[in-house]
Amino acid sequence: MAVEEQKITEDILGKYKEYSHKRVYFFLLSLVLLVSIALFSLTIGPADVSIAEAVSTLIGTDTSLNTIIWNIRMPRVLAAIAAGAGLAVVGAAMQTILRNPLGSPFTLGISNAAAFGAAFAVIVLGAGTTQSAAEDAVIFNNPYIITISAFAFSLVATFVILLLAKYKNASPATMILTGVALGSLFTAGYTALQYFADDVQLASIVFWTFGDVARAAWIEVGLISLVVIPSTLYFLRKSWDYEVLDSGDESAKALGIDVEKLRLHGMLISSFVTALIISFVGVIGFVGLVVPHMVRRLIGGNERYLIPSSCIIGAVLLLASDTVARTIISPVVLPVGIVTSFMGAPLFIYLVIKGREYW
Amino acid sequence: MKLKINGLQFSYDSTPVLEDVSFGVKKGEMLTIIGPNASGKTTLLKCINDILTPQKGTILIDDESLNDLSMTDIAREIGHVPQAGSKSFPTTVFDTVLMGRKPHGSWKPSEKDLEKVSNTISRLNLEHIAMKNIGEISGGQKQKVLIARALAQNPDILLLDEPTSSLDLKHQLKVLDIVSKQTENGISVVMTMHDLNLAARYSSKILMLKEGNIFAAGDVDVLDPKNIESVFEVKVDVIEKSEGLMIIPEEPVS
Repeated sequence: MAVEEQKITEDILGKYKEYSHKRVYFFLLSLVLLVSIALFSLTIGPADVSIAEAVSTLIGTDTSLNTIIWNIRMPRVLAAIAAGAGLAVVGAAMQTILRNPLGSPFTLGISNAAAFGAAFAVIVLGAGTTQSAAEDAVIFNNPYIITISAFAFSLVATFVILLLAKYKNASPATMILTGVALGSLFTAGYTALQYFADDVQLASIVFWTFGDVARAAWIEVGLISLVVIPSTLYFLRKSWDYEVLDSGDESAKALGIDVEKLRLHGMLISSFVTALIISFVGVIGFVGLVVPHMVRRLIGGNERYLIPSSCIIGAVLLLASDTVARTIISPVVLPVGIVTSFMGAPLFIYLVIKGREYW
Repeated sequence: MKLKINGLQFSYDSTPVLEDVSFGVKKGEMLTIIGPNASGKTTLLKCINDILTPQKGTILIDDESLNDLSMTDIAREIGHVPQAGSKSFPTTVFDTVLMGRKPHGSWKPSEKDLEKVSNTISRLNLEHIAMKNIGEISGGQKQKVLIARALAQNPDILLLDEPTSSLDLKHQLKVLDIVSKQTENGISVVMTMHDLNLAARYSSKILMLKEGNIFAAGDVDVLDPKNIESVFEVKVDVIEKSEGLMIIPEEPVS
């Protein structure tokens, strides 16, 4: 290699490494932001807790606030982190798998199926009633029946799409169109169930569809994390494959990727994570759709950096939204789904206007 | 023979596209497949690269059947430059070329992969756009990036599907100069092309396809008025110049 060519090669390599370092710094800064918001969020609530007290409780030097921090606030904070991270990671993965910027946990009708499942549990299985309570206007008689039903119907939607993908060799466009059709079908079913519901059941159904991380206790946080963490690691490990997949099916095959298998596995994992999160915390819109686009605009589209950064930014967005939901009209606590939709829609429109280069 | 194709047949459902196609390509040879639209050129390239599976026939690389090779093995042997890249989301030129190292890597690129990509970008004079978004560069540059991606695969065979179709004259020559240079390194090139003059100028072998069959094959001399009229249904005049053959279209055969 000529000396000059060697110098140019080293220069290109240096620039790329510098760019990669910037993407790593972005990830680390996001992590710091997440820890800061989490600490701040632990101090928010009816009882005044300072950041120092929260830290002391977390490291075990002060046990007087254990109940407030560990039993009440921490599960909520961790639920927001786990759900936000999971939704954002599967959003990023689905956009690549479907090669469509509108890909998200909700594009395939999974959330509509979950909402139908919840309504089915409340009306047909008698799982929900409204009661007056200090903290909530609605109490579910048996929240696990609602969760199981929502999860089961989410899986029905998932498997219809996966079967189509496997046996009919469906293209991403076909999968999206089927998802839209399934979403409409489940919405029709959901509306029909509402029509036959009494006032109490109707309130229960509507309340369930507001995504709310407060519903998650330690066990739910554990279950969501148990699925979100390995799924994120899977997408991270396969990030180069998904990066290649985004260059088109034929190019990906020419680069040695088993496209059908990769797409099927990705869809299966994404749908499962989505179904589980929705069934525990309800419908939380826009996180899965908006976060990957935000991250792409900030650090580019390389999946190896997109997946981990989307994971953290998703957690940041949902946790920040939940913190806003808890404080904006205190003492009334809003369900976080309302805040994410209010924030997400304008943010998405902004990204659409700014993101012309790829859609 | 680096690449050998015997009795290849392919059809989409019941529509035959390739019928009994056989030919070979030696190491360092540059074969151009020409033929009218829908003659099966792109399908043939896709069969060679295992993107499509032929119903009959064998494809051998160094006497080893394509069926005995894994997808990764094939990607290490064959670099493919499609007609146009179709990335859905933004990515840099460097990251695009880096995809070419996937068949050689595991789950993330190694230092060696990064060095190889930097070197390939440098060899193709793409250093000034290395960190640019692929969506921001011109069609000619994009074509060079896709060639760089295929070269990063370190292939023995390079397939190019109409590499000059959307390029201006200068970029057509630049891109084909790059491709031609690869044959000096022992890479065998198979490409499809519509421009007969460029095919005559750069190819060492020509394969003329008509309705899924080989009509004529051999040196550049097969590009004679009679063959061209039979395959393309256009009368032409062929003039021999020092730079090679010059083919001047006259009128379509009625």
